[in-house]
Amino acid sequence: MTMADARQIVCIQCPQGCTLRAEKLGTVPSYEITGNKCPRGRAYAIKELTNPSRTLTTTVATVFSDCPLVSVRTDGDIPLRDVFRAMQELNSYRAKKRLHPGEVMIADLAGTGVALLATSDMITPDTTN
Amino acid sequence: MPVKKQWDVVVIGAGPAGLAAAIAACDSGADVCIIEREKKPGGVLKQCIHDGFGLIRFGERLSGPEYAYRYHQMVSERGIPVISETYLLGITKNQTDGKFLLQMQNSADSIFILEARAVVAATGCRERTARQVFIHGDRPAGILTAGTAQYIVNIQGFLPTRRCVILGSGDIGLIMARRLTLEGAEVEGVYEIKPEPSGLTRNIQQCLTDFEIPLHLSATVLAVHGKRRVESVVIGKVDQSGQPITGTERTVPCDALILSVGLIPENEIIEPLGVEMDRKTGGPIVDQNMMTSLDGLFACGNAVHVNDLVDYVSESGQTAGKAAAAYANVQQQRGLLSERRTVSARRLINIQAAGNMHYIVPQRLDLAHHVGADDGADNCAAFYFRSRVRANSALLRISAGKTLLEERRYAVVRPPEMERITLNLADLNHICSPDWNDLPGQSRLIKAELVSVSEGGDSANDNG
Ligand SMILES: Cc1cc2nc3c(=O)[nH]c(=O)nc-3n(C[C@H](O)[C@H](O)[C@H](O)COP(=O)(O)OP(=O)(O)OC[C@H]3O[C@@H](n4cnc5c(N)ncnc54)[C@H](O)[C@@H]3O)c2cc1C
Ligand code: SF4
Repeated sequence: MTMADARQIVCIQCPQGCTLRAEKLGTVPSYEITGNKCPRGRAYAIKELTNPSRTLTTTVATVFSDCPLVSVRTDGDIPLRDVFRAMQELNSYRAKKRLHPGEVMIADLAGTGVALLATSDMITPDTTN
Repeated sequence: MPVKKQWDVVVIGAGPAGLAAAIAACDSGADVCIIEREKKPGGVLKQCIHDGFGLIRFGERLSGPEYAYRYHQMVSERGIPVISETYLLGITKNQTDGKFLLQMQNSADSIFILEARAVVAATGCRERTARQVFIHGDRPAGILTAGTAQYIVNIQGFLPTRRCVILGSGDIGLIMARRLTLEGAEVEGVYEIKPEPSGLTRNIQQCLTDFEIPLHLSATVLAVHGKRRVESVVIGKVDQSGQPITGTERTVPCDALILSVGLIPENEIIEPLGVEMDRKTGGPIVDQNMMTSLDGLFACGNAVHVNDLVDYVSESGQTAGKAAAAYANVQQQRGLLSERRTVSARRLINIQAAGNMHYIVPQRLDLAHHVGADDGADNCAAFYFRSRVRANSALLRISAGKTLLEERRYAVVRPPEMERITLNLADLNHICSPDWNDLPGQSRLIKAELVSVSEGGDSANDNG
């Protein structure tokens, strides 16, 4: 066991922000996680060691003059390494359908298999104050 | 639109606090309306497009606009009027009938008066600005608060900088460091004068570390240069007392300086009424029903103290709305009976923050009236507090005279992270009455003490 196998991870799953200590054991890895106040912390730490991923929130342009911009988020996490590629795809995207918050705008964002949801209201836009 | 003149409850501000207050007041049978100066409800949540809202209320990680939308839906379902693009200019209280007179101005610039039996102030908070931070040098364009940057990027859809420096490690600054990076700007670094970041740990991770944005602690901006637009800023390290260390200066070329140096409750409207304020929170002193020192005037959300979780903002709004409806109801009955019955006076006990407790809200308990906490436990009241210092292992003790009401251990307490507890008031009533008034003055208070076992160097409340 080398030191490099133990890592400190800040859990971002909730505002508690627990400091987790994660240790990889063996070659068919199993993980020892300590410092989490709840089970989600363990799942997060393993994910963080194997495939760190994040929810992406941003805005996209629309074709509607009364709400030129709509806020969006991914419906779950996408791999951290895909974040900038997803942003690139969204920079050239124009939303053509009016949606309520929570409705799907793009079914599969940048090949991640994760959907993109509108988060602000495009029916009665609230972005124009 | 002709506006009805008389209301049981008028709520000022349609942010999450005001929306929750109006819903609760309506559900308690009050005739209620909301006044909002902007076009749409939602308050500052409209521009907070990142996720992390509503984990406690909805068990989901929503974005700000989604959270606001859900509350707005609940308001619409109940048919509660939101009088938008209308600004509250001032409030007075009629001493004879106890009613409030609210002077309003709407977008058509007409001025009108509303009457209310009870008022809920849910006016939120504002950001500290460049004027409140001491920086030498020029005052060119390109110095803006993190909230302004957030509005420009998320609502207006422009990028206000190509390369910037962020001063202060409040949460909005951290969120904006990530947001600007995603949109293609370069954030040279975040500089924090204190030895500890003031934002939440998870925001340091997901907004800075994820994008390799450096966080410089014990460092600050010493000067700003540029004629019309920011051209560079001078950065320097500071010593333990916050004084710049000579020889550590460094010039950073950039076109913007973004400030994330804290939030202050917004109470310009209620202060002229002579409401007692808490120097530490910057908001009015309230009891567990969120009533200020003035009978019938309630306050909630960030107008009372800067919260780091919107879920608690809604909780305080709910309490305020429910209590305002109850108060208005009593007032109305008095009116109907046209008797000069006095509303039973409040029996207030001060809660004193002691030891390392920076502040505790509510600051008072009313033993004569209690509308009950949000979670159905009617005898309970929710309290929020912040530690003055960072400590691993802290002990919270709440006592009334010699009686210990609550004792709790915390593995870690940090000034940016607010803690919530509930107290059972049934016990309290027993302890404090009927001979409470016979106690000597100094023991007629509840002491909320936080004792730290080990301390770090972090100092007070600057989140935002
Ligand atoms: C720029 C900024 C960013 C923030 N980001 C976050 C975040 O990411 N996460 C988080 O949890 N918290 C954040 N906060 C804190 C945030 O304020 C709270 O979470 C929450 O939105 C507070 O709700 P509120 O209802 O108390 O206030 P607000 O949402 O500020 O609502 C107050 C409302 O009152 C209205 N109003 C004020 N005065 C008057 C008047 N005289 N007449 C009529 N209407 C009036 C305002 O227009 C506004 O709509 C942020 C705060 C700011 C300032
Ligand atoms: S481990 Fe659980 S409690 Fe701790 S931050 Fe993660 S989700 Fe929150």
